Amino acid sequence: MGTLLTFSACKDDDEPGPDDEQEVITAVTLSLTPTGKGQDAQATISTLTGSPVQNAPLTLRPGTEYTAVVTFSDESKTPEADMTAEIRNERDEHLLVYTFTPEAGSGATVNVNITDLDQKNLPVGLETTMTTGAGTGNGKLKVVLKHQPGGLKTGSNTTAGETDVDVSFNVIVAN
Amino acid sequence: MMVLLWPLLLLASMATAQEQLYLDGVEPEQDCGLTLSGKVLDHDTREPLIGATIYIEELQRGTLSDEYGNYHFHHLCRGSYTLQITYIGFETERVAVRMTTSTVRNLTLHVDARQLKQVVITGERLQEQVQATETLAGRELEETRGLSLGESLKKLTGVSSVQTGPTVSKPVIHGLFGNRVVILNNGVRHESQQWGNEHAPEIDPLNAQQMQVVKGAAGVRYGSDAIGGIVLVEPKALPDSAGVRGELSLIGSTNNRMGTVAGMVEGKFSQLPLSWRLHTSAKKAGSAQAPRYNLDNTGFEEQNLAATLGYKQERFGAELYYSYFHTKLGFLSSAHIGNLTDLANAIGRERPEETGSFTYTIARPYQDVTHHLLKARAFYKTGEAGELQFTYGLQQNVRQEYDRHRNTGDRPQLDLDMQTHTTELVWEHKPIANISGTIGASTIWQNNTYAANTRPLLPYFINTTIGAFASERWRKDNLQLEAGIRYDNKSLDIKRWNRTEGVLRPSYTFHNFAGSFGALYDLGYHFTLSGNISYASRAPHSYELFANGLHNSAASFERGNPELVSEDAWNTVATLNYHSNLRLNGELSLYFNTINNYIYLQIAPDYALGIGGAYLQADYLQADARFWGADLSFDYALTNRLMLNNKTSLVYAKNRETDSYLPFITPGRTDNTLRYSFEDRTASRLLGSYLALGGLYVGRQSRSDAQSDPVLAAPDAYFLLHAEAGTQLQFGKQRVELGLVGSNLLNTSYRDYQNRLRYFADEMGRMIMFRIKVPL
Repeated sequence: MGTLLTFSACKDDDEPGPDDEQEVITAVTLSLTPTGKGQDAQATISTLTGSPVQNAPLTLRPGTEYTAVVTFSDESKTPEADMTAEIRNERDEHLLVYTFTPEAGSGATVNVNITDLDQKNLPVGLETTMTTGAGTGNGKLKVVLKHQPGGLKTGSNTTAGETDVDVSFNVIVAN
Repeated sequence: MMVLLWPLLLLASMATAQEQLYLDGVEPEQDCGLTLSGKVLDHDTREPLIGATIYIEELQRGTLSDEYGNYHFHHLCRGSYTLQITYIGFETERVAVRMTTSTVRNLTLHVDARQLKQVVITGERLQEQVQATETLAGRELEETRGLSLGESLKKLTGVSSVQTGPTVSKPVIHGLFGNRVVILNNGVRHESQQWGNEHAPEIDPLNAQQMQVVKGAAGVRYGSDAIGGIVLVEPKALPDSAGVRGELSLIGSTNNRMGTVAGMVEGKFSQLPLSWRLHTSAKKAGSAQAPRYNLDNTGFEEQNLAATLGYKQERFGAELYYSYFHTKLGFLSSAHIGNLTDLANAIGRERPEETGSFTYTIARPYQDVTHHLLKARAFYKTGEAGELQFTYGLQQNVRQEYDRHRNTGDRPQLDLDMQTHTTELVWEHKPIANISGTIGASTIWQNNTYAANTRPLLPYFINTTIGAFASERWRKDNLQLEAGIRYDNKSLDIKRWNRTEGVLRPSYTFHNFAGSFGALYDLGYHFTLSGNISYASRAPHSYELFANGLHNSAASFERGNPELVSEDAWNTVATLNYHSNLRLNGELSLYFNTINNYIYLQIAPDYALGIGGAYLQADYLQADARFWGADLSFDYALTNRLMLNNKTSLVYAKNRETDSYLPFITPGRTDNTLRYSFEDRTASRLLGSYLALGGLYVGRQSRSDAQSDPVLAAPDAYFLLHAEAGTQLQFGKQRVELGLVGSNLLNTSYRDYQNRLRYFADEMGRMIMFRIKVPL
């Protein structure tokens, strides 16, 4: 009854603010550093304006091992909010799944090995090593973030749970 | 003068009746083709009494007076009979009739002085409707106690429900639902977020004494948007005799282990014309069980309170009513999914991903909804001419939806707040040259907002609607004609935030008309024929115009269309009623509904891409549509004690523009029940005991294809067995009512086409519900 009696008389002054839904991931960034000599590589896919847009292709060299980290952010906030820490905090409920698919006729290969583990020693995938094969060409690296709460995570089941992120990076493997 | 003589004549005939009875008896070999007919009238006002019981004691035959007060018995033999005439609020009369030829005999009843005021109320309720109407009351209503409003109304022919899992159920009338069905809660238009298919009406059915459904476009009286029909939820009238009474109900069920407590106290002061009532109920249920697994996170709880204070004098009366509704209900955890791949995985699974085990705990995703209603109503009798009524309603609806995401803390993701003020001024006038009717005007002012930092699924809006109507009824002999007209002016001022342009303020004005013309004709021989043509027009809702957001339970991204225009419906209904018969009674209703610019949500063939991958995209579209179908209900008394009841309804719909199927239309269904009523023995403690067994068959929606349902084909037909039993126990002066209702007795695994969660899980399995009611 309390709330009923406290209707504000002048609701019309209210205006909707920026649609700041908490905790949305709008961008995914892959950052690769070669373990030996060579050029770093980085690319971001953003969905702030609607459909996913990649800022630049991820350019890698063949026959190279990279240390890779993936980061998630919410660009709708000012300043841009980092969402990676949240996922790390709940790493026992999350799994990243990487799949590289070469284009037709391309000789490129990318092997992804997850190097970070959660509290139960199951893979997480925020940190990986990515190794390119000798072949060159184009392909797509799909990054899927699975939210697997309530004991759904087994470490190997990649279909369980809810998909939070599902994006595909354009990758060029060239000398 | 005649009026004054009547009671004397009656007394005289009653005195002689007793003697003649013993002298003559009934002579069986005589001519047995005689008819006894006439009218049942109120002795003082000479108005016909509708629904009075006339009972021939010698033959144990009874009938009811029809809408004109007429009654008749056919195939009577010559002889003397004693008629017993009963009618609520009137003194029971016994009249002797000696039949030598077919006889016309009018019967008059005297008002029972002790119940004078109750008569007024009862009389008002017994209006004959030209339009197809169904009422849920008495035993049938009792059998639904413990169910939600939407589930309760499914008892009525032609009414089904749109469901979201086992906990959310919305009424569907002749295939139409949502904002097309106007719900009147205790005389006030229920205003909440009814655009959402997973938003159940925020009404406590335990507080209702009667629920009435008007089927088909019925926009004249309560708003031109009632294209699908009207649901009237009516609490019991306030007591009119002094003293304090109460009632306690306990309801429990297996399956989701639901427990409900409901209590009521009411009273009337002996010195003052004041009466009051308090009604409260609390419900708690755990997760529902499908036959093969637990439906994880489908528990719910509900708390209700309703308080009424009434002041009533002969010419003037007022009523103040407040009700509070709160519910927290869990959503099937596995129905909350990310993208299309997740949806395909979910559909491919034999059982939901998370089944868990039974628990009362409600976790994310869940809804938390609060609804307040404050109503003030006053009436003033304008002399002999009629009655002036004014009703003001204030409603606040707060809907919070908690999604299942990472680290959400305790904040909701959707937090809508809607306030509505409604007023209505109505003048009901008494017959002037056989014409009676209602003239009135109404307003709605509604403000919708959402909390900062929550999902802007629905924009801010202010809806101002002003309407006026007139509905008149002409009645003479066997014919009743009814006509009505209404105009609503609705302005919608929207405020929505856009990333690039800031606050946008689109504004709309809609002019909506409604009209109806109907006739009811008593064909005689227990047949009544009624027909009705009505027009109604509904302005698009803000959600249909501006929806913009992800709907996790459907893995779809729903988008409104700001270009939508009002939908308008031409609805034709014809009903044939066969009544007051010894064995067979029933009603057949045929309808044909042409809806231009019908607004519907269609899953698009292409999908929306986001950070989470591909989502289904569902758009609000508009097309000229046609709905048609039939409702049949009948009772057949196989013996005095055994009754067969049938309820069948068929709905068809088509997009007239593309000649294709429309999504989400009710499949055909038939429910058949055999009911055995036990004889009341004088020595027995049991009263009105009965046992019933029935089966519901719901067909497969064959009018569905890859265009109407691109995600998953319509599920198979199903058959469910149900049973009911009830009795009244008498312990000295204390009466106790007991009831048992079992549904899905064979524990059948099935999925329903109109359940939005059919992609993910089976429906509930066997459930036995038991109830006990103790009047105090």
